[in-house]
Amino acid sequence: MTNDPVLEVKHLSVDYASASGAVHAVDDVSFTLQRGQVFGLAGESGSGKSTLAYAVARLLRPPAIVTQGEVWMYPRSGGKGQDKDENVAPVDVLQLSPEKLRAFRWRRLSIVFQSAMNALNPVLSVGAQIADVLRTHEPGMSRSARQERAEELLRLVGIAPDRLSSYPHELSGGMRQRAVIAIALALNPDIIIMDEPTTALDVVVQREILAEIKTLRERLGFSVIFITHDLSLLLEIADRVAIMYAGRLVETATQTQLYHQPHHPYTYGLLHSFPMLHGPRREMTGIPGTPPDLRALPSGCAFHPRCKFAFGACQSTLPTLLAPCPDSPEHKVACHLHDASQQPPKLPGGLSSALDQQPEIIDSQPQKELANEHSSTLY
Amino acid sequence: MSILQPFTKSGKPTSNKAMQPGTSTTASKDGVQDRPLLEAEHVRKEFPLKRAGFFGPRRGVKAVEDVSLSLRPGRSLAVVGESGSGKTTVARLLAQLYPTSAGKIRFRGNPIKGKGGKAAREYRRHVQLIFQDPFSSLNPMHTIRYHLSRPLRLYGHAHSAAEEEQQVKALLERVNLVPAEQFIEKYPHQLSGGQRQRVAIARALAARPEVLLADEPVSMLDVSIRLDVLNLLLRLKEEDRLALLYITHDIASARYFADETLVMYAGQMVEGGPSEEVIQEPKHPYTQLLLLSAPDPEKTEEGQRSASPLLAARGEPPSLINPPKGCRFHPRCPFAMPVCREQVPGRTELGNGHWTHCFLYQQTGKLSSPVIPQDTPESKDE
Repeated sequence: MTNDPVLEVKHLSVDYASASGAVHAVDDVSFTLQRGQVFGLAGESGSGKSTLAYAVARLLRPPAIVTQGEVWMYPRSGGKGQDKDENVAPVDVLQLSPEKLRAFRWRRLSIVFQSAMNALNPVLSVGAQIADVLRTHEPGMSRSARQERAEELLRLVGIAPDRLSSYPHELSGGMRQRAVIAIALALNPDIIIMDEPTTALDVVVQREILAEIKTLRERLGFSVIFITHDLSLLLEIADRVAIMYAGRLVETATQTQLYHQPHHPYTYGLLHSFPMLHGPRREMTGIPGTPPDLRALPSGCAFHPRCKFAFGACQSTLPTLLAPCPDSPEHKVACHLHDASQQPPKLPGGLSSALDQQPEIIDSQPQKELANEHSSTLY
Repeated sequence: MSILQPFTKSGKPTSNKAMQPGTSTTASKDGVQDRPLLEAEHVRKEFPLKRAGFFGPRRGVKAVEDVSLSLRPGRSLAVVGESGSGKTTVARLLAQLYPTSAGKIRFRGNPIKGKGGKAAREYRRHVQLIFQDPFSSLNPMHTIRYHLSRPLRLYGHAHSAAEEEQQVKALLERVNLVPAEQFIEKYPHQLSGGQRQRVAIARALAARPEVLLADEPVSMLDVSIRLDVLNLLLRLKEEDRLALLYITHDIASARYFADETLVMYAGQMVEGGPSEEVIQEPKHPYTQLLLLSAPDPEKTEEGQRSASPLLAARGEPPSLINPPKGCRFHPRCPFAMPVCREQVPGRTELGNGHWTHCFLYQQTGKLSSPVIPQDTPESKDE
């Protein structure tokens, strides 16, 4: 994949001010979103994944404060889309003035919220809600042009244009979610943040929405930040995946790397937390313990109380994201076990085999086959 | 026998049965194993709606249509379906939270009366329900001690304060909330979702039931702790030989968790049998669609799915006020035949306890060639 970033997040931290001191919801997170890519952000509730996304969209309100970091957005240089080439200089998102921010949102970056029920206004028809966006952001647009664009958008997401005059309660859950996606697409943005877009939907509908997102992305070329707690879903749709735990990224890798060679014990645990449909039925263990309380984070690596490989350094030193394998510099992990300078204990047979002492659930056959695919899709 | 015996981890499976006056048969030996504890026979449930106008037609939501199932001691049955498939209604009918519109529910072979009062309380001593949402199923105004001691007192298991204290602690230890002293005085808001669900499970156990109905017990919990709670339920099932009903929308967890699986669509049963059979060799087009749609990292390429004609079955479950005639899946089914629009398909036995309600299999019991490509690892090799 060529290096064509559309969004760069550098050392971003977000605190929630509370009576008992600041809560570090997002702590020193950096990542790059490539153009046309689906970047998956996975984590449990309270891991800071939504806070991170909202910080990028400048949607956070007090008591949340961005305490450090930068967010750079690189608008599409020319090409398709209406007057996209007016501004090709990178945008420092966190420094935008309120006026510029208004112009930035929706045109450059839009959001699909978790619950389509709440994201749509129940007393306005879907058409009115699309027109509302267009009227605000493109004041010059004529009424008929707005109508036309709204119809086009609905058609794009697979809803018959005659549903424009429907109210949200007249649509099914899946159609509502499609309508929300249509609204997010209204100004042809460069980036769409999708915050658990399918969580409230049934699996069959979820599958349709995912397919829809994939086709739309191929056609329109936007990038997606896809937030979910469902790692198995993410592994299907995302090109790159980042795992968050207690406000920090603990591992980032391509989808195939993460699935086949997870480095972080937490990632490994997550991958083994959902039962599989195929392969032998094995006893499964999950991850012992509970996610930490952000108000009282464990010292050092926040995962160490739940980690069965924790050693001395884990309790004292905060691990940073490093690339342990020189041949895959994009696969980064924040774990002392992969950092020789911390002198991790020698595990019999190395870490990967120690991890695999947990019940192995992947069939040997597909693994072999996917390993080929892995080598061919890597850069 | 010590009052604490049923709570000890190493306790014999039968120990708590022996204590219950209602349990005359020690239903533990293998011969009795196959006798169902709780059965539903052709159960229907219709929720009446307001008439449209005074002379309007009588209408109702036909939530459950002709469901039969049986729960056996020490066995778990999963009911899988999408929202609106009627799976939660089935659990609530079995728990006697709603009266049935038609059909019978039998407990140990005796039909239960739909009325509340003393009989219902006696029934709940044996059949307990765990709700989906541990954030709303516990009373925020009361401590964990209160939640657990109430059933102990109501069902007459604890006769003194000391006994009560002891049993509450034993219950907390059984659901791995240790040290129990730390949890006993806490309020629900001080606990995480997983801990709350454990309290809810402990509360259900406090009645010393024989049947546990778990309605999506883990869907509100974080991914990493779901397995913990499921494993806890499995362990309890083994220890107490509980008959377990597991309601879920996640068919993969049914495979892991349940001996038998039953798939529901729009209030009708469509397929059932041993979990492994149903999931590895789904017969009903809806089950196949469900399995095809489930997230599966092994199938990262969309191409592996698009081959299936089932993708034409997009759409959503029908309205249950005016459900389609015949098989309720027929408007979405790519293999629908004229007969599917007219009649409700009967049960076709496929062997091994595997059955389906589908006309495709009615003639022979088996299709000569599989209509739908199966997602076996072999098919990926091409």
